[in-house]
Amino acid sequence: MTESPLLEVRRVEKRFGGLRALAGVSFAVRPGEIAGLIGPNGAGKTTLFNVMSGVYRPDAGQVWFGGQEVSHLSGHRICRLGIGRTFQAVRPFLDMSVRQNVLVGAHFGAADGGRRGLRERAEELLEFVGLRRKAGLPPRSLTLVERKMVELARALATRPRLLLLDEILSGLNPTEMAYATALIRKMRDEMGITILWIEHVMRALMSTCERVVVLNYGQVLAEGTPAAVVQNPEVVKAYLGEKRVKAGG
Amino acid sequence: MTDRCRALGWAVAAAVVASLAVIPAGGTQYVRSFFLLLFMYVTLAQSWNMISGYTGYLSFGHGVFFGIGAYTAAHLVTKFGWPFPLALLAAGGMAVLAALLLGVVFMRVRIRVAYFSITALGLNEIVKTLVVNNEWLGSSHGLTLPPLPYQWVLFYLLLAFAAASTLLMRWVDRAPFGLGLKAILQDEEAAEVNGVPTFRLKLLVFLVSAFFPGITGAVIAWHWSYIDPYMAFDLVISFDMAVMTVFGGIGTVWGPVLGATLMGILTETLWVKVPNLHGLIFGALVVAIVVISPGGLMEIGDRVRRSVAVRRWWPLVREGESV
Amino acid sequence: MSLGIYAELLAFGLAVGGLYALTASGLNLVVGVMKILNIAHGEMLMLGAYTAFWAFTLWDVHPLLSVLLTGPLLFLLGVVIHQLVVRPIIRVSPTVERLERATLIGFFGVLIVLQNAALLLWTADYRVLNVLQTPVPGLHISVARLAVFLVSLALVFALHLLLMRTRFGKAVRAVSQDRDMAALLTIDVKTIGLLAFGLGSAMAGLGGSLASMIYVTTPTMGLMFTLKAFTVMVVGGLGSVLGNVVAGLALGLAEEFGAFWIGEAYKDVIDYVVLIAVILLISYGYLKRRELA
Repeated sequence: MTESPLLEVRRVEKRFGGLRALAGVSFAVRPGEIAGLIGPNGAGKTTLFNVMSGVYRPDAGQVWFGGQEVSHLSGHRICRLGIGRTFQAVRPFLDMSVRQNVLVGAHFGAADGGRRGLRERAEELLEFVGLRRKAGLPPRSLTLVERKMVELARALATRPRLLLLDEILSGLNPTEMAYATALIRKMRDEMGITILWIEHVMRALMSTCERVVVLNYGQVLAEGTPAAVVQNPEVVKAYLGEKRVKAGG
Repeated sequence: MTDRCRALGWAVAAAVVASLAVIPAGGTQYVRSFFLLLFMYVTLAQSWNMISGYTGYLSFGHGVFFGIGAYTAAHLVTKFGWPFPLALLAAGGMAVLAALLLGVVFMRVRIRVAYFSITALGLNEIVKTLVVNNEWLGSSHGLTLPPLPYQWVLFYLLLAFAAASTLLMRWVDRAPFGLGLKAILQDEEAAEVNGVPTFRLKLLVFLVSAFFPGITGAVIAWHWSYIDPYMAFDLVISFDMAVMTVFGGIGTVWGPVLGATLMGILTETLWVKVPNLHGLIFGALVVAIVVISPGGLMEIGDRVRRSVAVRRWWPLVREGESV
Repeated sequence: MSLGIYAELLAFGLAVGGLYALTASGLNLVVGVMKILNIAHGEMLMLGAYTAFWAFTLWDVHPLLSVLLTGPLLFLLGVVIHQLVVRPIIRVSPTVERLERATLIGFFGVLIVLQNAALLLWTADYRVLNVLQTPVPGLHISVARLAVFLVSLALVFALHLLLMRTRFGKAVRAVSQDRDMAALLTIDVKTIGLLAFGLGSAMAGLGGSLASMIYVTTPTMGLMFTLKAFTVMVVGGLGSVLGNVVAGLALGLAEEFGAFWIGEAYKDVIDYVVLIAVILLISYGYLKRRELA
């Protein structure tokens, strides 16, 4: 059961001026798992994603992916190696068509970047997220959940081995949340993609993830199964004394 | 676009180029000069469009590459006796080198557009100052250039530049390269994490966008047969290429052609008598365009196309189909 | 090298530096409140200089007195530009990036219009205002330079008081720091923006009055002032009056001393190098200016 981890974060630090956003974070993500990353606001979760995806360079520590150190690689190199991500404030290319959005990922982000089969793959992904009929429209004219799906399809087009999802459920209604959560499971089960998922909608995250990492003040507070983490008194304290897990976010 | 439409388009383009090509044979000196300058405007506008329209980095002092090209060629021929064709290539090369020096520093990070613009704006002035104050570079006296035995070639060179730059943009617009540029324009950070090598693309575009003004500068220098720093680095050149592109349609393939042609005609016919009036009106036009129709004439054309009455005999191209 | 030379350079540098600080404060106001970079800021200064020149030439108005004319005039122009250019652009720009690009192009157009208008009206001839050229007894500088230094700093200080002590000033600071919050507090954000833009332009105009005394007035003088104001603003820190003053004086001194060693003509080059250095430091993250990065 001890396979080598797909992603390893080793004592990563990141400072912004006087603020220490990440103060020595270490954990690993195993291939094929759906892992959750939670923590109060300002804990450093998105900063960690930015370090992992190459948007930031860590001030100290390392990021290892697939047995290779990627700490100081540029974002597009990391993407080609197999890390994809979505953003907290959903950011598709607003004034290009949905199809073009996906094609960007397919052309540039996939390691093979293969000319052949590129368009077919794009169509498949559009089908997967349910946007085939709206493929010619710009995301500017789409709803929030549709924009999230555009971002997701674009990231999937880059053939990620690890997908970083940043609060993908925020702002969605229960039906949309269930839809998205089902997609997340499908991505792991059918496409073999490992998922690391930041989320505040606890119920969805806890019921989907096999393992959860809790971040607070830029450090790992706890790690373990959802059940274990929920009962950890430190974790409970970090969430300002909330004893009950909020339902539905 | 149907195949028939496309073939028709190519035929029209070929006809236009062919008729332009015979002008030197039939027309007067004035007419030749007129069209020559039009070709210059188109080339410069396309160059500006490449960097400013397709990556969003507004290069307001882009004429600096024109001046660098002009001076490089002028010096190589007059001081070192180089043959013109070689000097022409070197002019382009020098402009590219300058762009490379600037680019490796400025494009590596996600620099704010305003910073890039203000740097670009100042660059023209600074290089001008450097040339004016440097004896070896020519100072303010200027250089007189010996006419070429084949002066008529200048016309065709510029026609070739205009055509080449436009064809290049047409290819870029449809190729994955262009898709990457548009992604950078939309959201550079999102583009980067989805695999777009933003630094590489931005730099490459910047280099090419400097090459064309460089070689154009060399050719125009010989057209003028004399250059001094105030002519070669005239801010008007930087202004014109930006204004023409914005007016015609920034970020489109044909916008710069449209803008350069229309405004070039206006400049050369009406306002050559009162030079600053043209600047005044152009400036006002730019402001008006940005407020009314930021996509320039091309956007107005699109709006007209979308209006119901027109749609029947000019159907909209569905988005995403050209890629 | 006599001490006198250094004293002279020092005096020149400070005088000019005060002017830069003044111009930068005006730009600071605009950038802070509207969050857009007015690259035509220097053109306001140019117009202020011409106003002072003509007021002096035609009506014998002393340039220092002309501030009463240039201030309101350029304030008005600022308001006009805001209504004609900035407001409409804001209306049609859905995102921050679009807004930034559109306003840059728009202000570029304003720059061209103003420069060419000046060229048309007054030609490219150099205009020199010979006034107060007598040296201050005991010091190595002319009264003009001393006056420029003192008046510039006085005006900056006045602006500082305005921003700190008055309700208007507090509203301006609120909008600069958090636009949405300010709106929630029922501050009329739109009007504040308008007034800030006008005031910023007025500051540039006032700078122009002063500049006419120690510079040659030409239609193209504005561009370098814009660049310098921007450099000072960025080095000094957005919103920091003291920072702007220190940075302005420092730039003025760097210019004078640098030019002394490299050559008078390369003054602008020095400024440009500083500008590029500062921009790169910010963009690469070495200089923390979160609000501007």
